[in-house]
Amino acid sequence: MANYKSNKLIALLFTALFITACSESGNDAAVSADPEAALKQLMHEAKEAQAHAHQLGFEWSNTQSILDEGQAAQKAGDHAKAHALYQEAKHQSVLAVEQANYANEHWQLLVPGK
Amino acid sequence: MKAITYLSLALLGAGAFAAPTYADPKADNEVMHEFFKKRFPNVEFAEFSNGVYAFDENAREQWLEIEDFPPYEDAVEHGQTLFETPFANGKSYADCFENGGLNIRQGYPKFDADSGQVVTLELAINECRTANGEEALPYGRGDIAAISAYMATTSAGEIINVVVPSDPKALAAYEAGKKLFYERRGQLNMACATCHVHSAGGQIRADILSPALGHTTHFPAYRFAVEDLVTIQHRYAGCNKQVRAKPFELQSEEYRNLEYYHAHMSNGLPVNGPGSRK
Ligand code: HEC
Repeated sequence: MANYKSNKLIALLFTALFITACSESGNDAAVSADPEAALKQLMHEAKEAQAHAHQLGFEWSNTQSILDEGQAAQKAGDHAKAHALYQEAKHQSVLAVEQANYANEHWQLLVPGK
Repeated sequence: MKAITYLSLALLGAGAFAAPTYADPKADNEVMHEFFKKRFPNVEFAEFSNGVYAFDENAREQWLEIEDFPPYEDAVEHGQTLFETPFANGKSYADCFENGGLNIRQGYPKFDADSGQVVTLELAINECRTANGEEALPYGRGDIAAISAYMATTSAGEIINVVVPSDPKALAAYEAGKKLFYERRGQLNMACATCHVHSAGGQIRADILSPALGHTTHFPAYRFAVEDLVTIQHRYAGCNKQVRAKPFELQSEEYRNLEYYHAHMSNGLPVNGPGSRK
């Protein structure tokens, strides 16, 4: 029972997060006058979010490779691709931090007998 | 004097209040063992040491055939040789452990009151090495798994008895491990318990999911996928990656605490390491 309830809850939470994450994505770099600086800023934000998720013990296993791909794309001059990848890495880590907070509050839901 | 009495009374009172929030490892086991007995009514308790082979007939037959010529035999022999070979300073592993390191697996991991940390058998093996001027072995597989597996064989059939003393630090370590076991993590948002408690006996891709009860009895285990003996923490890292969570370092505090909770759960089951698994 508890298990089912928590599944529903987490599904809701993640849907909500994805919606917020997606609606955010247009802002930052697109409106900037200096695309190079904006990209650098986004990469910085992605790395910060990753470090936060890591510190909580909730980093996802593919975040680093997405960041690496982003850096490769940036080096190769494909700024649009780099932007998308940094954005993805950042969103993953934002979700991972939310996941950590959720787990901290609700981990007991999966304990048998609860 | 009076003040001290009042103070200690107050502390006692606080302790009594705080008590319900502490972990109760013994009660945890009662609930967990009942849970699995209900889920697998035809599996004898001691059979949980055999993982999926306790209830998957087809896999069990294949496994029994394999165990006629165990794939880990050479590695265990190698482990014994390493275990018995003295260090450069003339001492050996036997000098670091109670009972000369034989017949002790069933008590690991242990809580070390001096350091306030959980000590796994593999950590103790490496601490023994470094204390005697030898380099620590890399964790996960290879020599460390071979030595640990040899030590496990000297405990064959002994009943697992992982002790959580009523020391707040030990209870905190146990509780931290327990929490880790139940936290959903990774891109797939799954906890250990999702697969190995609530879905135990179910199928995921080509695999039947084993119950967490009995997991630690047969480690290190020979994995055909790796073609080597692996430690239990090597397996933790693999399972973390399956749900796309970044694994913790082997022998990190996180994994040692997890192993403490996980091994304690199997108290009462016989040691049967090393096992062999896909
Ligand atoms: C997505 C499901 C899934 C999750 C989540 C998961 N595992 Fe596993 N695990 C498996 C599968 C599949 C196997 C191989 C089949 C089996 O023995 O269950 C396995 C095997 C194992 C084994 C070896 C079993 C044996 O008898 O040798 C251990 C130990 C283990 N997992 C521990 C854990 C721990 C601890 C966690 C949490 C950190 C975890 N697993 C999370 C799917 C999962």
